[in-house]
Amino acid sequence: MINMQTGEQDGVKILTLSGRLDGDGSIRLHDRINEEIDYDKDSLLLDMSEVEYISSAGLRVLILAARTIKNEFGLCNLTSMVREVFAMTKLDSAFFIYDDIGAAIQSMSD
Amino acid sequence: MKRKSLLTSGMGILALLVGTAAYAGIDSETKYVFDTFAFLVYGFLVMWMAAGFTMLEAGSVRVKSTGVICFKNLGLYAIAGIMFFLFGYNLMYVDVSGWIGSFTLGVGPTEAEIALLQAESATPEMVDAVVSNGYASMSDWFFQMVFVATTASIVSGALAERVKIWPFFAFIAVLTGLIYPVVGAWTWGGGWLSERGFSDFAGSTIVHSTGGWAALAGAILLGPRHGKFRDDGTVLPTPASNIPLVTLGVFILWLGWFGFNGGSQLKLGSAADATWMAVIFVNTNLAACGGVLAATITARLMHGRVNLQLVLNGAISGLVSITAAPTLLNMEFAILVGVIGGVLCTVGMHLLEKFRVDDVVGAIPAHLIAGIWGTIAAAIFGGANIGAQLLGIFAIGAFVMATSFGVWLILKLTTGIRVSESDENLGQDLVELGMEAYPEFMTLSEGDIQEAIRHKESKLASKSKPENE
Repeated sequence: MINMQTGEQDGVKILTLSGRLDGDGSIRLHDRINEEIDYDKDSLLLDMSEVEYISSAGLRVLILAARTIKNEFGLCNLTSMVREVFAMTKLDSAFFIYDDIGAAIQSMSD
Repeated sequence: MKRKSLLTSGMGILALLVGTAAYAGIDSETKYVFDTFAFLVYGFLVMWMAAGFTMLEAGSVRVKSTGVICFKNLGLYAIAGIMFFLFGYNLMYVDVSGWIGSFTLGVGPTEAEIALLQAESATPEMVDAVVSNGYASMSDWFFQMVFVATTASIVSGALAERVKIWPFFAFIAVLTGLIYPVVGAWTWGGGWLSERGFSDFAGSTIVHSTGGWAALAGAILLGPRHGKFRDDGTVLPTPASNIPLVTLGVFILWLGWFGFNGGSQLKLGSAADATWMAVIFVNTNLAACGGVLAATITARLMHGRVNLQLVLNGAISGLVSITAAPTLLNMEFAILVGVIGGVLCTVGMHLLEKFRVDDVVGAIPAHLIAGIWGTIAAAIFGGANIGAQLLGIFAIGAFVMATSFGVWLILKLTTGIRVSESDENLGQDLVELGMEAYPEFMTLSEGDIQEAIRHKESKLASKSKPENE
């Protein structure tokens, strides 16, 4: 189960996620991004501080978002589980990853 | 008249000419039991081929589409079963007048059978009334139904990974409720093609080419998987995600084929029928063996090394090739039929790629091309009339291609038939089922990851913006 909350700071849309990015959670995230984000205009930051688990499905959704969002797409507050998965798959070099919301907004809102 | 081999009738005539005293055979009720038993047992062997197709396809697609291909196979079997119950069987076998059978709805046991089943104690008259039909009517329905499911299974493999679930099921309903039954009525239902002498023992053309044509029409209108054929003329390799699963699928199909061809003798209640079945089993086996070896050698010659997926498809094409005439008494010909099938299939796979038709499991070469070859082989080696065989191949091909193309086109213009590019990227399992087939495994390919990294690098380069990690 995944919970998502939408926010916005300095022109960057923020989705705060909590729960599991498994098959069901991932497609819900994908649908939510589809609903909320204008791929041509918006910047999106995912706050991952409460993400307990990410499967291949979750990674696919993140990769697709990175490819389709023309503006900035960033991730922040990665839990150790998510960090480990990114390191194992070398996907840490595929995303813009920030330590926290402050650092992310500073970089993304430029 | 249902399926009947030319050779069987030929042997009957020979016996009459020799003029020996007719052998009475076993009593009619025992015969009824054996013939019914054969329909049921061979029928469930053919039903099991649905599992074979499912495994073959589930192992052939990329893992992100595995769940959906399993669902499609289960769904198509269910739809085929219901459509053939509601319309298909009656259109194919009941009161066929040349082109098409009856438009009555549903099937059930005969009046005589119901009377026997409901009687407190059966009378000899009641038993005779049932036995005179030769076999239990529902056993025949079951045996014929599992064949239509095979036709439908062929389509799902070719169109895997990009055809939407609901339009696919809609097509399957038309294929199993209308297109296949009409084709079947022309020959097995006693229609115009059988009157012209067209011979297709267990359905090289009627079952396999029909599925192949329907798949080809769909594949053309659907287009290839995204990125499969690149602008520079190269082809994106999409290797099978699970080779043991594909191999298991092929072995299940091979096993099921003994029911498919053996059961198409339609009778087991005499020494002659049992002997025919044994001949059919051995021919079926020999052709598959020939297909495997031929595909092995052809792939080695064409590509410099053995390609296991081609070899696995070689087995299928050997089996499809012998299906029109598994009654050959010169059994070495069965090997030859399978060998040529295996070669044609391997070359056909190559040709399809040349024409940029994306057939995920190679169903079109294995079922359509090998099916056409098998139907011609029935004339070359099995004594069928070559003109009638060609007429059948062309008539059925034209009818199935035209109707399938029409149905796919209507679906394309109304509901759309393929998933969006981004949905294809995510995989159908996630988009249409919200699940993963292997949730505990890392299923991203090296290519997916590298492309994601490349994308970030190009974004960085275009913005020349420093990363803050």
